[in-house]
Amino acid sequence: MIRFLIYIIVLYLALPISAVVDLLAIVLFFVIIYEDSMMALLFSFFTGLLIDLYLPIRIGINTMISIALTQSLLMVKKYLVINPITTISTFVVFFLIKTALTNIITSAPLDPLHILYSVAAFFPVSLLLNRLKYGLWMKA
Amino acid sequence: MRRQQTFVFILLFIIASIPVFLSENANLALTRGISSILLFPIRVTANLMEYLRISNDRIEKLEILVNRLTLENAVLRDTLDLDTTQLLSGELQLVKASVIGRDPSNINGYIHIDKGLRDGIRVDQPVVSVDGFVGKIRDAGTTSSIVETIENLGFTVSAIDINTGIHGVVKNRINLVFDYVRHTDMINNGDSILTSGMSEIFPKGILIGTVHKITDSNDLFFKQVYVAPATQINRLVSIYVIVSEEERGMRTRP
Repeated sequence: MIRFLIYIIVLYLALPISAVVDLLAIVLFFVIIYEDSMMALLFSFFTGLLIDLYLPIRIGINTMISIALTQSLLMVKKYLVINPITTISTFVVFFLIKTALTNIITSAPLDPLHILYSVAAFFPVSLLLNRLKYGLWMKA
Repeated sequence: MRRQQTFVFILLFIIASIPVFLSENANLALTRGISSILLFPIRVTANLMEYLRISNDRIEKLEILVNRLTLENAVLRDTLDLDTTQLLSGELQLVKASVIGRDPSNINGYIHIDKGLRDGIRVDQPVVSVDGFVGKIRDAGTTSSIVETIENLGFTVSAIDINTGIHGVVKNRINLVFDYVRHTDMINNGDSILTSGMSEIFPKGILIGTVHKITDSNDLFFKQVYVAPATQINRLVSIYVIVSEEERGMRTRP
């Protein structure tokens, strides 16, 4: 419960800059990979809902995408070997699918800089979250 | 566990999909209702940031005002200290004189007073009234003297705007003008103009007048600042000549 609250606080902190760097996707990915599936599903629901409210297009769209992607990642998670290369490449795929789906549904043009910044921010943010949670820079 | 996860997934997905199928108005009302709760921390933070930004702007403006007032206060204190010290210590003394005549060809430019060399009056001594600056002694006779007033054409005195600290020269060019104020200098109507003390004749801190009109002249560098004199020369009945202790001593010597 405490961990969930901490993730929620991180979510609120990341929300104002999510239009530039998608820190929400990074935090969500971290939770999916390192936390149990129930928490990941609830967290993805909350994350999607917050995005829907903060950057409103039509309430529910981001929430559905978020839950569907989380469930998909949870299903393939057990086949992943957790190391930096796999984690980064999985995040890139996860993020690109999420961005593509959101942009297709909302008919919005792709923002290459947004994608670039978010992918670039993933590794340092992931290291930081690992350090905060496990006291290690990278959990292998 | 796996069945439970699937159940939670389906449940959350159905909940998430409900608003998508709602009408535009219902969707809007739902968004408003939920965001008022979930985005409350964001709204509070945003309001706080806005409040801090406005406060910061106000503090900056107040700092500028405080600096300006501090400068003004320092100049005024300096002026007061200088004058009172000099008068109290006896370095400067006032000799009261009555106006006994005026020059018919220049009625406000020159005035005659009933004090002269015998009373310690010398050429170029400054003359003031209770309202402020009057002029200087132009000619001293044994028992009477002639005062050249600030209203005489061509009269000049070095001056300072007490509110802004701008130095210049007050000249009589038909109108009384505070000269050498640059176009970029901030000067306001109502500012007090005092003698700056950058002169061998006039001590610092005598009120000359106040700024009453500012115009952008054709001059490349300076603007035209008009000064309303503090003393009305045509109503003067008595004046004071500022005499130094040394000059008073000369008077008393046999």
